[in-house]
Amino acid sequence: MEPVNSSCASCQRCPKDPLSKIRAQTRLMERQARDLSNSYVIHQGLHRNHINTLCHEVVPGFPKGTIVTQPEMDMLQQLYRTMVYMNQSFQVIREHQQDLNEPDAVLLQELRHAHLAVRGLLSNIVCAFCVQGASPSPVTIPERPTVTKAFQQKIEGCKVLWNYARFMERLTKSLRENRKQVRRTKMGRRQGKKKKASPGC
Amino acid sequence: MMNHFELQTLLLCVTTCFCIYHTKESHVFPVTFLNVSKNSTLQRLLVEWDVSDSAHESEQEMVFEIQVSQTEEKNVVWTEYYNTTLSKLNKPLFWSWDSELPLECASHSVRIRSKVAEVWSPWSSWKTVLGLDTSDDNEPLIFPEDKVVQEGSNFTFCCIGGKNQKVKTIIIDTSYPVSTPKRTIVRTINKVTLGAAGGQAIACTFAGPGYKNHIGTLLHVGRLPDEPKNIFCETRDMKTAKCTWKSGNNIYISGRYFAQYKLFDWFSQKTLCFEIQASRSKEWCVCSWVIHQQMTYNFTLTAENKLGKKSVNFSFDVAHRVYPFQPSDLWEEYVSASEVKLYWTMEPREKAIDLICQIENNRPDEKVEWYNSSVVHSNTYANIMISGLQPYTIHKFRIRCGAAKHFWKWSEWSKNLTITTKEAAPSGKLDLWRDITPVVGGRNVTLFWKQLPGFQANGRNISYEITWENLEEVTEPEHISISAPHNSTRICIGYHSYRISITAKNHVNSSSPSEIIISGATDNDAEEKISATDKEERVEGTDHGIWIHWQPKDTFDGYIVDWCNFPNSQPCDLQWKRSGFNTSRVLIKAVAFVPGVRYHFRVFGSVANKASLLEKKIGYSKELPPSDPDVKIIGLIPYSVSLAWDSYRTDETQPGFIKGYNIYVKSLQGCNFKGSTKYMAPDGLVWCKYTIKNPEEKRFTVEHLVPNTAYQLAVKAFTGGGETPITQTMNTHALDDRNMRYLPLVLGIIPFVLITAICFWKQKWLKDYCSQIPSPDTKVLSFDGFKVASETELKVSDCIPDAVTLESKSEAKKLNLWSQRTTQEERKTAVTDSSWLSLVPNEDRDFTCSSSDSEAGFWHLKNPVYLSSAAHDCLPYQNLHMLHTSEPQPLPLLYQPQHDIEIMNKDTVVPQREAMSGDTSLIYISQMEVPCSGTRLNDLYCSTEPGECLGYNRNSDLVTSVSDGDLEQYSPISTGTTGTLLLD
Repeated sequence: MEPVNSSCASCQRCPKDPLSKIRAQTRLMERQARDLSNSYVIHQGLHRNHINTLCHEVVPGFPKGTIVTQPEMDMLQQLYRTMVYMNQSFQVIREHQQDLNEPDAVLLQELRHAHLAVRGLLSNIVCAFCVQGASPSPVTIPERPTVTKAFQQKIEGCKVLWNYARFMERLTKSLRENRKQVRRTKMGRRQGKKKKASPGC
Repeated sequence: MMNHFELQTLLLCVTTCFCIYHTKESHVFPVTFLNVSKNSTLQRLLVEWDVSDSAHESEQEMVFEIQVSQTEEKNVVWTEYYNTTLSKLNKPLFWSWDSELPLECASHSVRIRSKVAEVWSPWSSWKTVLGLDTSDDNEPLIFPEDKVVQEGSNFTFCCIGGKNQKVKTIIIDTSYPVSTPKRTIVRTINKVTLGAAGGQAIACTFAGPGYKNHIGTLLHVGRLPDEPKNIFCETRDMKTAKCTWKSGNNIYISGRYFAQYKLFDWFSQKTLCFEIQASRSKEWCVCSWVIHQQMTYNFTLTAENKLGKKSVNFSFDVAHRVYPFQPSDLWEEYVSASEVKLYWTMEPREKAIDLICQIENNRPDEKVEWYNSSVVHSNTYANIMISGLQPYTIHKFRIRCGAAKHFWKWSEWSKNLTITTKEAAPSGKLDLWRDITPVVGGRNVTLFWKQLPGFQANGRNISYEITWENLEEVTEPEHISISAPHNSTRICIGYHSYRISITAKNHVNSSSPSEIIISGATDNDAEEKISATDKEERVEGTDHGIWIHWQPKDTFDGYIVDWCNFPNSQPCDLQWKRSGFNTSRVLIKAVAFVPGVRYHFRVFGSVANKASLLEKKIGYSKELPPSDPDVKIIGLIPYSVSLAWDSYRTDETQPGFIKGYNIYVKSLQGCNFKGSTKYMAPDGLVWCKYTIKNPEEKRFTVEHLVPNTAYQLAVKAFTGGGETPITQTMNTHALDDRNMRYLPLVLGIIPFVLITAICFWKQKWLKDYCSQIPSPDTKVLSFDGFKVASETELKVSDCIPDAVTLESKSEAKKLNLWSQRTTQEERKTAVTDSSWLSLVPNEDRDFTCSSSDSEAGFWHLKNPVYLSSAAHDCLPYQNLHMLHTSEPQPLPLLYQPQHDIEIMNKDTVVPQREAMSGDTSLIYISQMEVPCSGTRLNDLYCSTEPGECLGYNRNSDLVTSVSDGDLEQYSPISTGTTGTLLLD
């Protein structure tokens, strides 16, 4: 796959605090990803045993471990990379599903909404870089085998969406914990300052 | 050792057998060539074989037996006989076989033998198509892939592991572990059902080496497509045509396996449309194409999916199916107030299609008119003249067109064109009516008008021009102008005849006038009356209205009935209705009519616009039950009760014409009153009912009551609308008739007392004239007023009357006249009724009565003579035998003599009563003059014959006063029935 370039032409359209936006967005996307994964399974005629056996398989597009503990820019870069991967994955899944479903099928709409959300998050990640005067590094998407058989297409989509839901779950959980940690640290600092300001007390 | 005969036989057999074998071999055509291939998608084995050329040349009729076996073990799974007649052309021979098991799942082998003239050739060798179950590939496989099967059929699939892999589980709707792991597993699902969109997933997992340990496929279950329905084809511009049909429920397989449609034309041998996909969201399928020069088509429309196809044939003539475009650019040209010319354009412009157009005119009154145009060409500006329009009216026009020849359907309506026609003079006439009220020096005429049917204002700012002129004197006509929407005005005219006319006027002109003529009148007859009585006849309302009838006369050319919608209001909303000369009745139906309201109708006859009052009517649209009368009991005697409701009004304040009254009586003893009828009220109670049919008869006596019985009474007025339910009643109690038993007794006492008095007077007279009895003081006898010792004048009202007391306990009990149930008022009435209680006519004024002394409770005998000459030496009172005792009997002294001063003192009476309270006998107490000679009354036997009386004081009088309270105070202490008259 060719590396994806992104440039920060202008930050004018970016929100003031893109990181907050990203956090809020990921919270929404976490739920959306979970629902989509379940809905996908139901619409594909896949049984629970299919999922356990065939879908629950790690695909290479998602980072291993948590990305939140990394420095902010690294974290954003990792997130950016994942979302670029998901952007392309959604493109493929939607194409496959258009062959299998009616044009106005609910699943196609859900896929479209999730795809738009990924694009929105990508945009905000670029903004997060942009407000810091940087831009995300070009990423190389791991190549996936071209699948022509419908069953395998379904399974591939299932795998990606399951991994995506897991990733978003881990991400939001880490962000939440990280936020709590930051708050505790800030509170500790304030109390320390107070103690220093009034040693007699 | 074999003998010669046996050897010969053996040789013969061998020869025969050889001959037979040789003959046979010459007619057998074994398979010379056999090739087997497969179509994996169709799961079809393709078999190709041949026999020798000689068989083809001899055009042998042959039978081939074909056997199909699966697996390496050559298990025969199919045997078929293939009959054919060989020819030079049909070589080689072909046959195919559809396998339920995907051909990749196992090796399939075929062998064939032939038969000619019942002789079979030897079998060919097996030709095998290898399955993939024996391949050395490491990748696992599943067959079939993405299979479409019909609902209800069986589906067989197999999973083949890679080299050294074995099937571990099969996942369909759940996970099925394989008990004996093999490299290849075959499974069949029976009677498959419609499943998920995009196919039901089936998968196998494998154990063993290999980079892939699972494989899956999709099972699409569907049905054959339905036949296309609701097919129609048409053109709008004669350049392109389109056919439309309904896909209906043709959606049995989703996604890429949707049914597809193909439209094939047999004339041009072209498929006009193909691969038109149906879908759940697209109910209608459309195929369109360019017509060019071909005007007729013979179509086959085919619906096809993976499971099969269905077709429909139909023909299409373009010229018969023209659906024109929507007309546009509609505009107008005004010609006159009632005419307008409409223009519009049509499509196509570059090709002339003959069209007829329909113009719709939506009028403000919601009526719709249609006009049809002549044949117009689509490439020209069409127009139509619309006449007969209503002036100054908003019209909405719109147009649609259809093919003039072979009409198929109308185009869509064009957009609305809203126009307002020009103004014109008001058309039609007004209906004018009047109400005349006499005033000093003339008449007030209130004019009313309304628009007759067909009247049209035809413009803005309508005013009503009213002119009236004196027909008897040459004067300038007077005129007023009233602007709409007023519809009445009042003018004042004199006693002469007047002509009043009215016209409606707008900016353009006036309507033709309407006239009425008011006849002349004098000061006295200015008010419109029928006759001196001016009687109003009653009419009855119906569900449909009120019919007004009149006596028609030949002299009139029409009739007018007028009435007020709100007779109790001012203005009363006068209405009128005209009818022709040959009518004698009219139905008045007014929405404003309210049940229970009395309406007054006047019927006028009209000739040459001059109206004369003929009749007056009153009536209700519906009569309602009237209010209840305020009933009073005016008389109550043991056997009857009299009721009165004199103040009850029977006029128009009532919600109906009062037709009479129903008197309801009820007691516990049921309804057995003479002259009454039994009436069961809605609440189930039974009443006796009397009916009075004269509304002015407002008194009624209920007779034949049972004494000492409680009764409920109710009086209801009734109208044509009935009467109100009995909710309020009066309770009364019929008197006990024991009181009445005393009437003869009392009437018997009166003559007795009179006779006694006469006797007494006679005795006195004898004394005066025969025995030199000193005469009383003349001063006392002169009745200038009572003088007591102090010489003050004694007024009549101050007299304490004498009393007569009935001493009989049993009789007192019976005397219900004084019963506690009798009201105080009734008692007073009874006591003060002179016709009842004055036992002696009071012709002389010497004796007067203190009737107000009701508390005395006695029969008073007041004698001024006695009062003035209260002799202390008078003898005590003596008993006077009355009633039952014909013989004079001595009675014990019961009463002490009273002096006149004491008697007049009210307080002094009480001890007197107290003194008697211990007596049980009924006592009649009377205060009369006691003879000064001291003669005992009981010594004077008085016969009932007046002539035998010994003495009589003509100045005596007997006045009675009765009180039940007194009777109770004087409770009888004696059971004796002896009556005692005590004289003071």
